[in-house]
Amino acid sequence: MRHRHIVFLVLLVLLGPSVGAQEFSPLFSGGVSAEAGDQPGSLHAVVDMGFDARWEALSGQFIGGASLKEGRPTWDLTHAWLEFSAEAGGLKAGVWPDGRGPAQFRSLVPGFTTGSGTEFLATAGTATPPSPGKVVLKLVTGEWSWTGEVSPWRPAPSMPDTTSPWFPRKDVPTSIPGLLYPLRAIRTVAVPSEVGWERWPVRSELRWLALWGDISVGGYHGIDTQAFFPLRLIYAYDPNLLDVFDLVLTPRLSPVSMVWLTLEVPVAAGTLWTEQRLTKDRPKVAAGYLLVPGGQTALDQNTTTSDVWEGLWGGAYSLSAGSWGQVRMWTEASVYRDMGTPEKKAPDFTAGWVGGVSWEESRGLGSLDVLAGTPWDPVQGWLWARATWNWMEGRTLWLGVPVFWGAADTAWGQFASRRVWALGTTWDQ
Amino acid sequence: MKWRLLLDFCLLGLAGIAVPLAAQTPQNEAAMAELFSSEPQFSLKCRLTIEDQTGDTKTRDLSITALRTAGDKKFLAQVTAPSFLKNLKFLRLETKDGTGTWLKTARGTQRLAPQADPESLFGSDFTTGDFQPGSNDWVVGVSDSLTIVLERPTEPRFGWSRQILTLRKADHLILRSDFLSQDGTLVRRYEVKAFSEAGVPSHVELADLKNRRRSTLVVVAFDSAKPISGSLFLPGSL
Repeated sequence: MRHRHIVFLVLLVLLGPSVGAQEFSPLFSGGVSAEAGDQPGSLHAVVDMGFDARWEALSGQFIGGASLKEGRPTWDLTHAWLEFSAEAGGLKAGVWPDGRGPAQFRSLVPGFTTGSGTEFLATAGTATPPSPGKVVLKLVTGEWSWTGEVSPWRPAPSMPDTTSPWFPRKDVPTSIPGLLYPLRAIRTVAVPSEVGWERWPVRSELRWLALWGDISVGGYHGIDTQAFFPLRLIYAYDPNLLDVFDLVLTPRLSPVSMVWLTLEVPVAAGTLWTEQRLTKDRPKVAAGYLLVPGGQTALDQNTTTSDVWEGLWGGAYSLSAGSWGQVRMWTEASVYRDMGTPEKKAPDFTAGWVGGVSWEESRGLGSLDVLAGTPWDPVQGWLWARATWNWMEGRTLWLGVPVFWGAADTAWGQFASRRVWALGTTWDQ
Repeated sequence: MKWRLLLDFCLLGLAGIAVPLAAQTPQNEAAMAELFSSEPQFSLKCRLTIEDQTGDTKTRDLSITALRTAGDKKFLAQVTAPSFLKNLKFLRLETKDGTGTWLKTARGTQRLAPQADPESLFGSDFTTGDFQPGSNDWVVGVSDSLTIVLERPTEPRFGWSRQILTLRKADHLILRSDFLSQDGTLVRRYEVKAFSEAGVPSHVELADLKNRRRSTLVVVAFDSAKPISGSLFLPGSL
């Protein structure tokens, strides 16, 4: 399988110039980053190659390569798409990373895009949100545009490897009442990416983009893009059987429906935006465990669903430092209101805040970024700083240091005792 | 083919609305200033060379497209080489309803607020502020039969407090724009360095004299005849 990918990539690059393109550009990029701290470090490496080309109204990009993430080699086609552009819109099909929203890492495109905060922190903000292959139809008329998307695959649930320092151990019990031994071994289960056509995720968005600002309304129906990994406890643990695990995490692919409204308005020297989103039937953990039927002695964590309202308000401001460069500031406040379940009617309410300041040298020679976030209650959060030096055209060296605080049983506080830094270099040609 | 200069790129708000010369004031002289062609539409390809204090240079190939209809101005600049910078774009729309500016960088696409501070364009000395609408406080300087000279005070926190603009009288082409500090020192200069055989600029330079660096644009192709679709200028397509 791996060899087939390599042969395909080499063929793409070699055959690229002969495909009759009006414009043809080979693309090469690479990057190496090391993450270290008071726990075993990890090495990430990526080498991508490919090309983009244009034939009249048709354009395409094919980029793929090898990557090493936490010691595991993978081969991926990261960009493999064809796009037909016309006066009234376009049709794009294939695989490509989704863009991010104005707040640098919070996407304003709910639906297919997945990604986790820990992945963002672990890669010092360089992680690209994964996206499944899809077909996108866009119709444009004046200031109005409509986008429809459909994918034969599900969005990939995002969960760090169990050996990663970013694995959320605070959510994993270390013992279970009634068991005589502590839980030790954990494994995650991969699920196939294909889903039946009746479960294909679909997304639709109508956007009005005017000079005074832009407003959009949209909807999504498909597998929830928020990763949900309920626990399965293997009850009859036998320490002599190496392949038996105490705990198994299997992503639950639950269909949800969501609708949203976004608004972005430039005001004086800044920009303000908001996004309001309603999600129906989002799965979540409920109290207790259920015996797994079928003979295996195991317990499944009980789950339920609830409706959720997410609100987000943000603003950005950019300040010139003359020949020293540019300083950008942005902030976002968000609320997450769980509307309750049939068993528990009382809604849960949580709020959060993220913000950042970045400085970029006027010639793009380097930049400094500081990002921070906290859920407000309980007091916990993260702060992350990255320095980037573009020592040559297309060559970058960066250092990133995340800092966490809070109680050990909180989402971010669980990483507070870790001293982590990440150093990386990228190369583009 | 008659085409006037390049550089819708910098320096002033370009109202581009014909006003009888006799009725012109310094304000609308400045507003009519042209950096690129005043043709209703054009596309050009040029090479941007960015030189720093040490003499090291970086180059970007640019594709620039402009379209004017009644009361509207649309301008799009995008990097076409090197390949890994291909997604960098600058879009400006100016209509009777208002003005919108978008900048697409490696960090994503952002809408620039109308009063936002200027940002560097593609890592060069040109900035987004060079496209902002001109103020109304121009006064006539020492002009002659061939040129018009206009002066105005500017926001001092960007490093200069006065701008002196030299236009070609015949077509309001910007020949030079000087930025002076509070003590009168020339700190930034935009200048046409060469003209094509048709008498239009083919080589322009923006020098940051204070920091001893400069950016030059050399036009390699110009076309004002090929039809340009308005769909090129849709912010949603960036």
